[in-house]
Amino acid sequence: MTLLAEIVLIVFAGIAVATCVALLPAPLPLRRRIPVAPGSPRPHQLVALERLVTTAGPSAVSVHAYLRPLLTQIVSHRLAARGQTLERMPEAVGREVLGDRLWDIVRPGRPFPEDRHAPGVQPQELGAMLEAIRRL
Amino acid sequence: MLVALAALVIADADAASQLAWLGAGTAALLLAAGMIAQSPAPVHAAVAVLGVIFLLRHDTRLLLAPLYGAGLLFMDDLAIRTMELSGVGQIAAEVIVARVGATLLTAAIGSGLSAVAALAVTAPLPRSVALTAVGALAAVAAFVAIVLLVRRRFGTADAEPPLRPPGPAAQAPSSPDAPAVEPLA
Amino acid sequence: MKGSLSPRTPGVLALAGAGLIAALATGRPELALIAAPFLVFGGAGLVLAREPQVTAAVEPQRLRLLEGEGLTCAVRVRNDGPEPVEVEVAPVRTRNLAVAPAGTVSVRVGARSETEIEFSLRPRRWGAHGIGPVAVRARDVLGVTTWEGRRGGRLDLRAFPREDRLRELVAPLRTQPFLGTHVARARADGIEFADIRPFQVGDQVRQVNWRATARRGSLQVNQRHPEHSSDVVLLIDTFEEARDQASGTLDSAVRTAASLARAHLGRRDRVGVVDFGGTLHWLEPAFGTTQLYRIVDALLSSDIAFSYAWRNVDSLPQRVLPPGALILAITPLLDERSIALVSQLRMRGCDLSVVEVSPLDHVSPGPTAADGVAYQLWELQREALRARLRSLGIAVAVWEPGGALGPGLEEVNAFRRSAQPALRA
Repeated sequence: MTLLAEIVLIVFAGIAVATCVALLPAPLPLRRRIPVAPGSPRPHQLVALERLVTTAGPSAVSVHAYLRPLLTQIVSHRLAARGQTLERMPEAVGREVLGDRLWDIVRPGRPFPEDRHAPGVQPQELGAMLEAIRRL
Repeated sequence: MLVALAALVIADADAASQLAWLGAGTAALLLAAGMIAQSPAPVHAAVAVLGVIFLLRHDTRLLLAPLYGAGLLFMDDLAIRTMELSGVGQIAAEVIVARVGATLLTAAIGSGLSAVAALAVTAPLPRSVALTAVGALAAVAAFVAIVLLVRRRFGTADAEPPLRPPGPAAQAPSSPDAPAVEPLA
Repeated sequence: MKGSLSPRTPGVLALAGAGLIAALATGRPELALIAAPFLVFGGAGLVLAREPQVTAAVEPQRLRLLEGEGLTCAVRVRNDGPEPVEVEVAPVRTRNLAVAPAGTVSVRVGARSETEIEFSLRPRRWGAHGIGPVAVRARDVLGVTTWEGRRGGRLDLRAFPREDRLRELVAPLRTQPFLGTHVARARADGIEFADIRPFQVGDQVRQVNWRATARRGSLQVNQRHPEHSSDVVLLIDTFEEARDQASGTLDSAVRTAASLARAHLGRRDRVGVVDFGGTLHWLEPAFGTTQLYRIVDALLSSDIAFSYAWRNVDSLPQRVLPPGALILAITPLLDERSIALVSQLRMRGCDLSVVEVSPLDHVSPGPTAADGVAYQLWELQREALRARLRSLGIAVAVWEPGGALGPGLEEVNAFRRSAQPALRA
C-alpha cells in the first residue's frame, strides 16, 4: 500500500511537472533568418521551345503543327539573306542546301501527316538540322 | 566540459565503467548532433544522460552532486550560447565576458544552495509516503510558481508582428490584371 | 517588445523537473542536487527578467548614391533601462541591398547609455532600397528570456543607375520647332549651310553670298539649316525579363535608358519615358535637368509586374508619343505584347528603333541534350525575329550587357541611313 501510494504520488507529481513545462509559452526561435527571394523563372519563350523539342520527338503532328512554322520562318530569313526563297527553290537545290530531313519539313505544300502516330523529330536530329541552318 | 564530467564518473564507476563509457559516448554524440543541427533538444538530452550516469559512481557523498550539477549547467549554457552566437556577424567582447560571468555566477549560486542542502542531509533518509509527498509537493509548487511567473511576465506583452523583411521598395500595384495606368508626374 | 522564454529555457526547466521527479522515484537525492542549479538558474532568470527599454534608429550617411557605390550606416542603440542589456541588432532590408556585417551584431549596452554600430551598405542594383526598421533582440543577463521587436522607421536609399557616356546618339528623322542641336531639314536661320537662292524682299544683307552674286550677276543669299531639338521617347519593356543570380535584362535596360535620357536632354531634346509592361507608367516629354531627375526617379520604380492583360499602342495616351518623336524601345523581346507594340508603332509610321537587351547572357541551356537543342532553336528564333523587324524598317541593335552601347547605336544609325527613304515614307 505504501509503495502504491508513493508510486501514485510520484506519477502525479511527474504529470503535474510535465504539464507545467508544457504550459510554458513557446520560446522564440534560436535565430531568425531573412529569407532569400528565389531566382526568376526562365523566359517563357525558352520554356515553350524546350517543351516543343520534347513533344516533337514522338509526334509527327507536333512537328507539322508547331515545329514546322518555326523552322520555316528561320530558314526563310536565312535564305532571304542569300536572295533565295523557299517557294522558288527547286527541290534538288533545297535538298542540297538544307539536307533531306530539313527540306522534307519546311518544303512548301508539305501535307499534314496521314499517320498521326508516326514518330516526329528527335532532339539529335533537330540539332543536326539547326547546324545545317547555321551553315546557310 | 563533457569530457571532464564524464571522466569524473568513469574514474569512480569500477564495475559499471563500461556503462559509464557508453553513457559518456552517447552524451557526446547527442551534444555533437545538437551543435550540428543547431537544436537545443539534443544538448539537453546529453545533459540528462550525463546526469543519470552520475548514479554509477561508487562514492555516495552528496557534496559532489551540486558541483556536478553546476558543471552540467555550465556545459549546457556554453553549448546553447555557441549556437545562439553562430549566426551573429559581430560580437562585442564584453558580451561574451558578461554571459560567461553570469552563467558561472548562477551555477555557483545554484551549486552553493544545493551544497547547503547536501550538508543538511547527512544521514540517508528512509523512504516514506510523507517524505515523498513533501518532495512531490515541493517540486510541483516550484514549477507552478515558475509557470505563474512566466505567464504574468509575458501573458500581457503587446503582440508585434513577426519579423519579416520589407517587400520590394516603391513598386507599382501588383494586381495582375488591374490596368494600373497612370502618369508619373 | 515581444518577450518570451529563450530557446533553451523550457529545456532547462524540463531537466530540472526530470531530475526532481527521478530523485523522488529512485530515492537518490543526488539527482535532486544535480537538478537544483538548473531550477535556480531558471527561477532566478525569470525573477530578474525585465522588459528592456531599448530604442534604435538607422542613420545612413546619405540617401542617394550611384549603383555599385557603398556607404556607411550607423545604427544607434539606446538603453533607457536601469540595467545593462545584451542586444542583437540587424537592419531589416530588401534583398538587393548587401549589408556588412552580414548577420546580426551583438553588443552590450550599459544602463541609460547609447552605443553606435556601423554597417556598410551596398546596393546590388539601381532602385529604391528600403532599410530599417532595426530588428532588435535583447536578452536578460542570464539568457533565460528573450525580447524581440523592431525599432525606428524605414528609410529608402535610392541607388541611381550608372550611365554610359554616349558619343553618338540615334539621329531623329524629324525635329521640333524648338532650339536644339539637331540640324533640321528645313531652311531658316542657322549655322549649317544648306543652299543658295535668289535674293527676295525681306532677306537681310548679311545673308548675301557675294561670290555667288558676282558669278551669277544677281543678288544671291545663303540658306541654312536651323538647329532644332527633337522629341525622344524611351520605351522600356517591363513585361518580362531574363535574370540570373547577379543581374537581369531590366537592370541593363534601365541603365541604358538613363544614359540615353541624359545624353538627349544634354542636347536640348525633350525626353519622355514609358514603362510598358504589366503596369503602365509614363512621363511626358520635357526639357531640362528637372526632367532628368524625374526620369531617373521614374526609372527607379521600374520593375517586372506579371500580367495577363493585353496592352497595345492604344493603351498609351497620344500626348505620350508626340508626332515626329523618335521612339527608342529598350526591350529583351521576350514578350509577344512588346513585339506586337513595336510592330504597331512602325505600322503607324512612328520613327522607331529598338535596342535589344540580349537575354542570352542571363539564361543558360537546361541540363539535358534536348534543352541544349531548344536553346539553339531559341537563338535562331530570335535572329529571325530581328530580321522580321528589320524588314518592317525598324532598326534593331543587339546590346549585350557588359559591352558598350555606342557600337549598337552606330549600327542603328547605319541602318536608318540606308533605310531613310522607306522610313520617311
